[in-house]
Amino acid sequence: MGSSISKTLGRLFGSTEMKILMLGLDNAGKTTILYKLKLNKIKTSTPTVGFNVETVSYKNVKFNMWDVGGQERLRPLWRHYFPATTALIFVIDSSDQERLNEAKEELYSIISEKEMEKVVLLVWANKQDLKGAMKPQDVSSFLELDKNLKNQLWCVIGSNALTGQGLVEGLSWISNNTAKQ
Amino acid sequence: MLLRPVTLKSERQSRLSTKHSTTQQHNVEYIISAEFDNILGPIVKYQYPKTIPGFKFSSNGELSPDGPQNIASLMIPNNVEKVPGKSDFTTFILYHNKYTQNYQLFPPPTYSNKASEKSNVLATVERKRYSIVLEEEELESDLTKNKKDDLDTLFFFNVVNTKLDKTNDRGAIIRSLAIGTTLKNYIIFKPILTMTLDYYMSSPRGASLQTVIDLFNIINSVDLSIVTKFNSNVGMQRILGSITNQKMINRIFDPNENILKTILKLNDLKPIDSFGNKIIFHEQLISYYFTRFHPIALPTYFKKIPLQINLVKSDPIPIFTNYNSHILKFLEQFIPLLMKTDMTKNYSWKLIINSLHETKDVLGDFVMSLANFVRCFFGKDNKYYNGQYILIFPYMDISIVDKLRDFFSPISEYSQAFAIIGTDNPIFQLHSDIWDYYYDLDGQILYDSQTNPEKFTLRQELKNSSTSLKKLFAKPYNLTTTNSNDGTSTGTFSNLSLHFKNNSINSNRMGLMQKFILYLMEGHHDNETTLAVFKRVNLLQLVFLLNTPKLDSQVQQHEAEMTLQDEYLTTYKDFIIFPEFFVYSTLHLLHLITSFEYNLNILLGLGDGPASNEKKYTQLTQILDIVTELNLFISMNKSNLESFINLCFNYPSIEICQMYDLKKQDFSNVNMSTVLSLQKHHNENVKSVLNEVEVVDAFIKNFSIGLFTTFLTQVGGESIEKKLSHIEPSLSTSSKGKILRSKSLRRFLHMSTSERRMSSSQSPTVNTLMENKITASLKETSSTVVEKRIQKIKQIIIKLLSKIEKHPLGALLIESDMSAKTKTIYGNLKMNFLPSTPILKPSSSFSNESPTLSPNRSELLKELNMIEEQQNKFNIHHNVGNSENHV
Repeated sequence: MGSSISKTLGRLFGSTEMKILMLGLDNAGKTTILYKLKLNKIKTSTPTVGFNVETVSYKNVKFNMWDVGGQERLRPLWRHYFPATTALIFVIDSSDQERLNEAKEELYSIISEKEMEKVVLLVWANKQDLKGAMKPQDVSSFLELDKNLKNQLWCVIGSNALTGQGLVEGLSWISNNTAKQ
Repeated sequence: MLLRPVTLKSERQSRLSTKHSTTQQHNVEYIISAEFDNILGPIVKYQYPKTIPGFKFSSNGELSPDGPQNIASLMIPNNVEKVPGKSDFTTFILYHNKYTQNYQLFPPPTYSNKASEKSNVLATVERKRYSIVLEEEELESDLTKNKKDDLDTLFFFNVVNTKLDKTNDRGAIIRSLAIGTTLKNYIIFKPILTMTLDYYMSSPRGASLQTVIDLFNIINSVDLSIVTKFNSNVGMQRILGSITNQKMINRIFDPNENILKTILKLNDLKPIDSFGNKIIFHEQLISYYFTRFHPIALPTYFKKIPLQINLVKSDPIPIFTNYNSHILKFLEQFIPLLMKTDMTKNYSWKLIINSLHETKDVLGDFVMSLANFVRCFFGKDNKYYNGQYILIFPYMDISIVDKLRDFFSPISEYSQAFAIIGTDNPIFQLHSDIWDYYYDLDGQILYDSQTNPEKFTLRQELKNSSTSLKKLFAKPYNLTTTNSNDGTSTGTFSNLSLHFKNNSINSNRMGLMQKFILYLMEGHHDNETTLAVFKRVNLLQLVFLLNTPKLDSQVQQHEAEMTLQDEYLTTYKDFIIFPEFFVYSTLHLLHLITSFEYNLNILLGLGDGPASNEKKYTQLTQILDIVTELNLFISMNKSNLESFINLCFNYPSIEICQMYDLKKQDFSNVNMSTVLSLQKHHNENVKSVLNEVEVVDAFIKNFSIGLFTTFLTQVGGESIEKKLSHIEPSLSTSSKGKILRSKSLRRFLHMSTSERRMSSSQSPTVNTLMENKITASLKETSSTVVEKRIQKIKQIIIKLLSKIEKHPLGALLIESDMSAKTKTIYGNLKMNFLPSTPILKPSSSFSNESPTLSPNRSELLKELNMIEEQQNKFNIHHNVGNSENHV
């Protein structure tokens, strides 16, 4: 009730808030992306224990971005972060082709949850700067989202957290596509 | 790959003597180490001396519901990577399930209601209101049982740190060490645990199992039996926890005094423990040195760092936090919400405290402080209201939320349990099914699930309401007026409620507890003072509750099965409770002492007239019955005596009970400064207004011993001052050595007017004249029968005080609460009535000294002393003037 009022007021007066959940395997670059967006700085010294949460403002939209650790034993905890999520960002290390299948399995495990069936999905094919990184189109083909996600909006965008390439485009896509919902 | 925790059989037996291992309980039962694995996440690495039952990895490598990963998530808390180099601390508790023989993170089912049935056993006491109270023996037996079943609950205290490391592929190593112990003062291990983790993380040799083994052995190499013995002396600890005078505490623990030796029943305080380790007593601390320990992995300098333990245990779980930093601010918001609750339904609440920015140490202390305010971990079971359990979880990770839901599930016996849970993850706010109240510690915002997700900022509401301090002090004081009495006595305060208008209870009212929380916040008082205030409010409200009829429909609905503690909580809804006051012995003593005060006030107020002697005799008979019962009761056993001494250390002036309906009064517009300044006014003959700091100090003054000495000095017989002039002339002429002014008498002087008004328009001279007149009239009209009765009462009071004095802490109470002159009177009366006992010499140790106050109040103290000096000057001039006139 309260959040719907907030949304309505936000639309009327040109600002809105949304909860974004950013997930992915460990070392995919989620935290680096978060702090690049938040501070325009690179913070990569340590792994994430638990989660990070920051507010990133973009075009009158406040993105409450939750970045949750991707280690094996932290993944079962991802579902606890599902409530009230507007958009899911799934970050993939495009250079780590060995774990691409593992990433795909985790992604499908998330979007098959009932609580997540209405969220929009953005996949950031990260680390595009690294040698041997798969192109966004290849990642998209590998994930087979076009086959399996008929009723959900999704998008795969190439990104480089170090330079910020693709990050704003991603947020812009979320902003545009959630407004339509 | 699945890492498995490494465990080893204890090497302790080979390293310590047989005697040690067979006769002494371990100081710590387990050491666990955990670390953050870059692939897996938090993992347990070592468990020593064995795997904790219930926390093994299953043989097929699958994670069990209570597997070590749950512990690991509590040992490697969220966001710890953000503060490299800074140690942080978490606490978690494991409960033993006697059916599975495993430990678990939540209390196991009891499979029986016998325990709750037992607590509802009717006690045969004189009033029905006392009918369902916990017997002292029950409470003690619970505590004794707790000793036997010590391993039922293990407290795990954990230190964690992050070290940046370029050789690590993710740039940092994150490790932790936890000790599992039955000791509730586990906080004593903080320094050694921190040092060991530092070594464990920084030294190449450190990160080995041997370091863990050394930690286990070094802590268990000292014999803490003195501490255990001292801490398990419940009666003594209660009294010590009630003493706010630091000088008194220092004296108790002064090795040159005999008090500590007497308490410990030792001829001498040996400088070594039973294993030969060096011990040093310093004030209330005992320091153990690991003299006999020979480390293998740990550096030898560890032996030089003492284990320091505070022998005074004010709280069930000792903590380091200052209540004023966070906790009072929370209570200021939380209690008003509780006041609005409907307790007729299945009442319980679940509170989540969240902080993203404070350390886990601060968060854990916050939760434990609240646990202490409801006396969790005090007895065997953490029961709060209506026999329902209260779950304390100082730090909870989101990984445990499903188990929490199971714990509260409708089919669980804990479905109606209360809970106080600490978290560092705001995602808990979105899981609104698991909480009723959610407190954002960082923003100091309290959310109510009824109003979530809209912000419920009570702080803001308070700022805007009439309860704001600014408005409170800006308004002129307006006192509720009451009629005191008609000169007859019922021996109790049972007709108190008749003085008040039967107005309905306002759920937005500010109760007495809230009122004093504001004063405590304003004055930045220390923890001891805060606890002293809370105890006195508890006692005052309890006195009022016991002496007023049950008017509340909520209480009436539950009357058949409601315990007194439940009735108290239903009535006042102000969260804080001290169960030690709700046991039969304390209630009985409280009843006697308040009855004594009440009857004494009436006695001192009886004026001249033909019926005066008869009334006096009736009143004296009441008092005689009371003091006889009091004397008998405290003579029955040591426990009763200690309950009485503890009550004396906490007994407040019950004047507020007579002025206000504590169940209904909205204190938001009541200026306690004016109310309590009466007490100061009584003592100093000067009208003054107390500031916020003085209000609290005035409120925590003890009145108990003064009541008894008032009878000795003010009632009947030959002028004691006259007698004294023969014995000790210097005292009777000393301007400083005034006989302790009878607060009760002076209170009566105000009460005896048809309407008790606060306006102190009467000059000090008028007061003195009135007092003299009444004292004189009492003397003149005393018949022989009345005088005999007075002497009999005095004899019993002397016996009573003498019994208190024989207790090492009781002696200090008497010494601190009696002025030099009163001590002389007491000594002489004791010589008359109990010729074989030694006379208490007047001592200046505590008398004529204000109790040790919060440091920031020292300035105030100076001012008070200056005022006192001026008053003395005034009195001297005044006396001189009188004598000249007389001549």
